[in-house]
Amino acid sequence: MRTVTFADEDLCAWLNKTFVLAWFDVKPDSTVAGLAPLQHAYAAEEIAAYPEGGGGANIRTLVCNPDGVVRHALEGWWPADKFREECERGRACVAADSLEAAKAIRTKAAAGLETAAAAIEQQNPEEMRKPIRESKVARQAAALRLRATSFRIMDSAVGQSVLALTSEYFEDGEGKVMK
Amino acid sequence: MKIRATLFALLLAAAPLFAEPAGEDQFRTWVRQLASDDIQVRDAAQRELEKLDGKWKPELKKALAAATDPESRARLGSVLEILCHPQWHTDLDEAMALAKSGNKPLLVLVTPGAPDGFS
Repeated sequence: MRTVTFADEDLCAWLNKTFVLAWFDVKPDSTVAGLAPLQHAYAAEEIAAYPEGGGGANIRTLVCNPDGVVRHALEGWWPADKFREECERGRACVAADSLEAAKAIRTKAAAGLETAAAAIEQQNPEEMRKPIRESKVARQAAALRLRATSFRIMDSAVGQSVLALTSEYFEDGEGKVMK
Repeated sequence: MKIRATLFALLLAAAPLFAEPAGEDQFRTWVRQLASDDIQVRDAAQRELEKLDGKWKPELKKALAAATDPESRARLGSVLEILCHPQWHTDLDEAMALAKSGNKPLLVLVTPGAPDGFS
């Protein structure tokens, strides 16, 4: 996210204007040596091949209302355009009349993503038979499904206080799936 | 008469909604004001420049290259930093207080490591 998504200056300018941005480090006492298995400098070709939604529980994005209640959440790495889409969705969830309305926005979005994935799969049966790394179309469908899945994984975060949630992460400190 | 007064009041209240976005002249005024003797004028000008969108980056970079006043240079640099890089708060309590006081949504990225990578 650091070197790709947040290198997009237009995205960054928009994020700065739209949100108060907070970075929560789940391993604050870490050093490169201690985290060598988790972090290394990606080569350009590795970055290009990194799957959308990859990283899972290592990267979580929480969009909260001004009182710090989570209204939208997802996991994984997303390129700038998809990340902006999700942040826009987060804004809609924050602006929703109620928590239930915010959840409904997420549920509808997840269903829409899965429908879009199914349409791609149905229209491109030959591509779906190829190994995913050999098919841009298959990767597109997989990314849509992964995005929908990441919403569902983070459903339990919606409605929680961001302080309470992040204190659980801090104690756990392993970036594992939330309690 | 009463209806006219009410309509006029409504129009005045709505005026900011119809305000023109910043033009070249306004931009140059704000840049010039960064070198003002009055700190309130300097602060206000910087706040206005920080609200600009990304399309003003080339002009800001030109203004920075042309600026000779150290304070103008520092303030223009700060404005460009805001336009080009995300301004992460690493103190969540502080970020929450800002979100609440500014009535702005809060976006929290939860991940191992600091915003500038691992030390």
